[in-house]
Amino acid sequence: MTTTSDIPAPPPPPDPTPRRFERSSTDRVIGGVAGGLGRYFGIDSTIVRIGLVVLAMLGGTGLVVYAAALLLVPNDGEVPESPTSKRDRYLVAGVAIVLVVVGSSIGLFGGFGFGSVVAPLGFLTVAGLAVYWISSGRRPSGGTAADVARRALLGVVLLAACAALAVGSFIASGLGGGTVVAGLVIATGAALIGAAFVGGARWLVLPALAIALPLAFVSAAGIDLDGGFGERTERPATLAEVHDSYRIGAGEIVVDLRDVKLPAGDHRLKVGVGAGHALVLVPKGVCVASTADIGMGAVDVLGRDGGGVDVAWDDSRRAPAGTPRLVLDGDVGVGFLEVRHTRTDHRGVGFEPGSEQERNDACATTTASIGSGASHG
Amino acid sequence: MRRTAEPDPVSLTAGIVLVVLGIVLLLDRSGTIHLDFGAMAPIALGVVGAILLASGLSRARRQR
Repeated sequence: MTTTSDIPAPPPPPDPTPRRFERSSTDRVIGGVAGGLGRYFGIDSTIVRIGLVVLAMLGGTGLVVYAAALLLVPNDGEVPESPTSKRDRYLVAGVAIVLVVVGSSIGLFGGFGFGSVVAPLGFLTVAGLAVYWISSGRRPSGGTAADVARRALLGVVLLAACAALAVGSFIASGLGGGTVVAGLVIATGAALIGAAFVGGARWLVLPALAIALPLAFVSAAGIDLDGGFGERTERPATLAEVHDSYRIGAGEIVVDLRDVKLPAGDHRLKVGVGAGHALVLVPKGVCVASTADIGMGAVDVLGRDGGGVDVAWDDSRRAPAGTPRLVLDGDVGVGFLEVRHTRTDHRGVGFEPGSEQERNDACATTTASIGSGASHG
Repeated sequence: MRRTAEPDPVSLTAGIVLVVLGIVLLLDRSGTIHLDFGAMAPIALGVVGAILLASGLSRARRQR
């Protein structure tokens, strides 16, 4: 005879709801992604965090994964997505094709291959979702997969429009249209104030910033893009051919004075570059005194250098009697101003091995100073 | 468009700071003031920060 206490307990019924990946609201450092992954796979969330950090350092994959999960994975307890319809699947496929084409065209700059397509595509999708979130104020993860894809596409379109606006604002401001651009910023701000009383126009904030911030950068750096774009080399053969000033808007300008026989006395020269590299090559036996205003970048005058932001360079030097002195006045928005005796192939990045140390030996005295940044030499 | 009883705080804040930023930039471009990175960086960060703050406060208020 058996009693009820001898009957083994029946096994618990299987959980009817499938296991779901949700961001943890209790085990979270940033967004609960690692906590959710740890709970889903039944492992310590610290191990997941370490894995994500390692992936972030190995090409940034961890960052993309984390950002995508942050945007798309719901918090625990949120309503799950409804099943995707056939029409929605087609829509997702269409959006994916568009993103792959755009992503792969970006990836072409880094060569062909799986990584060159998938990585830009991943960044692009996540960036699109983030832009949607910022501009609409609504989380992009709710609804069907088609809804999420639509939001990502909308974000990418807005991002592309903002990038185009930012480039246009930068060029227009640098070419002297800053007053007009500033007026546009004021008008956009006024439109936003007006729209605030009729429901708001948050989507306008990002484009407005895309116009305003490049102008702010151009103003702060003092960038002047007048003078053309590209690479230019000026090599006067005689003193008569030397101009008072040389300038390029963006790119590289080389002023090679090594063929010019400079007589004793002062010779003033202005060199300007809006964004890029200016190189002045002077013959040995010429003393170089220099001043320069550099918004952001560096200066190197015959071995004495400095750099940073808002750089006011002053390397006043006196030449001994009978020695020519070049009095250089540099104006650089963003970039590198350089004075050398010999030309190397470097472009402001480093010196070729074996290139000799440049010295301003022809001068008698020095009173170098720099208003900002760092000075060496 | 429909006129609402309470203005949208994000649009209002963004509009005000953009108008102020635009005026500062206009003064710089016209040569009245001279801006460098030392002055512009805090202004630009303040603009972005004010918009983010308004957005965050608005979201928190909506959730309450």
